[in-house]
Amino acid sequence: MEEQIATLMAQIAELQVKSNTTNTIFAETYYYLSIPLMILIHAGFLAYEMGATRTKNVLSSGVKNILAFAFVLPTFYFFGWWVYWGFPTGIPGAAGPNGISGIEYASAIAWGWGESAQYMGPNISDNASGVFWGAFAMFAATTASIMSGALIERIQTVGFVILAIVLGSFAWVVAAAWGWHADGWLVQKFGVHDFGAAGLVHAVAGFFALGVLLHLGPRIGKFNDDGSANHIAGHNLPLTAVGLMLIIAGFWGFLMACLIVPGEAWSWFGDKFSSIYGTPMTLSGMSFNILMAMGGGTIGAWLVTRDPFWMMSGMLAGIISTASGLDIYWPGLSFIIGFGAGAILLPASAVLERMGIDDAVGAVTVHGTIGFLGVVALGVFASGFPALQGAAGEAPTISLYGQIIGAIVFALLGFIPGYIVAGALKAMGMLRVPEAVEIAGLDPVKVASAAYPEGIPPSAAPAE
Amino acid sequence: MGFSFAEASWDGVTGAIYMGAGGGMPFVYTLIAAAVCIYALWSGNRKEHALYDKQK
Repeated sequence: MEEQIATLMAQIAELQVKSNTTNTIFAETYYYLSIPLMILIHAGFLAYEMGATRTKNVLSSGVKNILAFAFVLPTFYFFGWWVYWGFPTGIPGAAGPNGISGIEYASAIAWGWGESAQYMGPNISDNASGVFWGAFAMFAATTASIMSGALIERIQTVGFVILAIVLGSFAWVVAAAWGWHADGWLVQKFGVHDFGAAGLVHAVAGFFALGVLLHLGPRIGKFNDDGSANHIAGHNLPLTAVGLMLIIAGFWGFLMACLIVPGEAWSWFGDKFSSIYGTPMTLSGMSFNILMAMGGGTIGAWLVTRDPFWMMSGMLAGIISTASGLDIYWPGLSFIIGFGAGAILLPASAVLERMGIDDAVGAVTVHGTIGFLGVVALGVFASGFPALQGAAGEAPTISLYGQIIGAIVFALLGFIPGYIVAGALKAMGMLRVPEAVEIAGLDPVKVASAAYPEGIPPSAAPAE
Repeated sequence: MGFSFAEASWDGVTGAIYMGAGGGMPFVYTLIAAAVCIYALWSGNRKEHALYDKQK
């Protein structure tokens, strides 16, 4: 009898080890697979931007898009990751109430040297740090890609890369520390809830781009002397449309990486997914909302524009407008909010154009304006929801006031550094290409290869 | 629509957590979404045929 009990105990212990291993490897694989899905976002932005560019600038657009991705990755490793963990309570701050923030904590886990280096490289006992860092690095690269499209056809490459580093490895990271971390002061004091990063990624990047655009100026030929705008068509709208669809596919990886997997030492729950704030949710519920928002956004944009560029942007706007609450929206409401976002894209973009701002691909509208409104919309519909774990009266709750504060902070965290750094680059002659180069085309001047060496053959004449 | 549970806490919460769960608004929103789809198809069909007629 005692032997049987001992055998059973040993078997239970073995099963527990196997179960723990399975959970750990599942969690690691979950975040790992979100990374290639998020790289699809960059395949998408590459196609989208190059399609929206005239043939004389197409490879330059591609080069700057690829280079932004390439530089954000190491700079996020060098200091961006430290900013996320060090800044939640301030600039940088003391330890937060959950004990997972502050200078000391960040310095223990997020530098690539000293004691913390063990969490920043291969470590057989650590199945989490690299894939978390990787997912966040992809969010960082996404912010730079969002900015990239607005500035095509007239920005210097190195000046642009510097802007990408400031945005991708600092500005949005501060927003995430403040509003996308359980210790973040926006969350603790104002109950700010931005599950899918509508504000802290999209609004930050969109308003950063706006700050840059104010210094960069419009493309030559965009505006006439009387202030009216000319449409500068990209050379390949089908490529742009496919690019946007790839971004949508990659967005699923982005949103999946916004959840915290259960059952690990660092998880909020043993048995359910949660948002980054520790509030319970499911992939299943999120799936309802993402798909309904996508449909609504596309239909809204189609009704107003009939243009495939705006329809695909509408699909994206649908997701962005509901991203803050994809964990708790009712799907029918996600459709309606997405529909509204798709419908207002063209009018909102026209407002910017009337102000003399040349946003070549509508990035400020789709990401800045819609991201801002998405954060605020959650305050309208979700007031009273607890923003963190905790007993009633202790946990802050979502409110319209809090969401407005959050949206404004996110917009400023984007706009101010974008405007200041672009101004500094302009003063140093590193922002805009010379006029003669812009007229001749960026590719002939600074790219070794030709995009279409045999030209683009015209359509065949229709048969009689 | 607000939090559907008695206390503003996630402690012990199970089941439907979407805003308005247990109330009538989710049905209203679903109805509006369906109506929007129907309107979009009707409006789109009108505009499409107007373009065809212009071509003739």
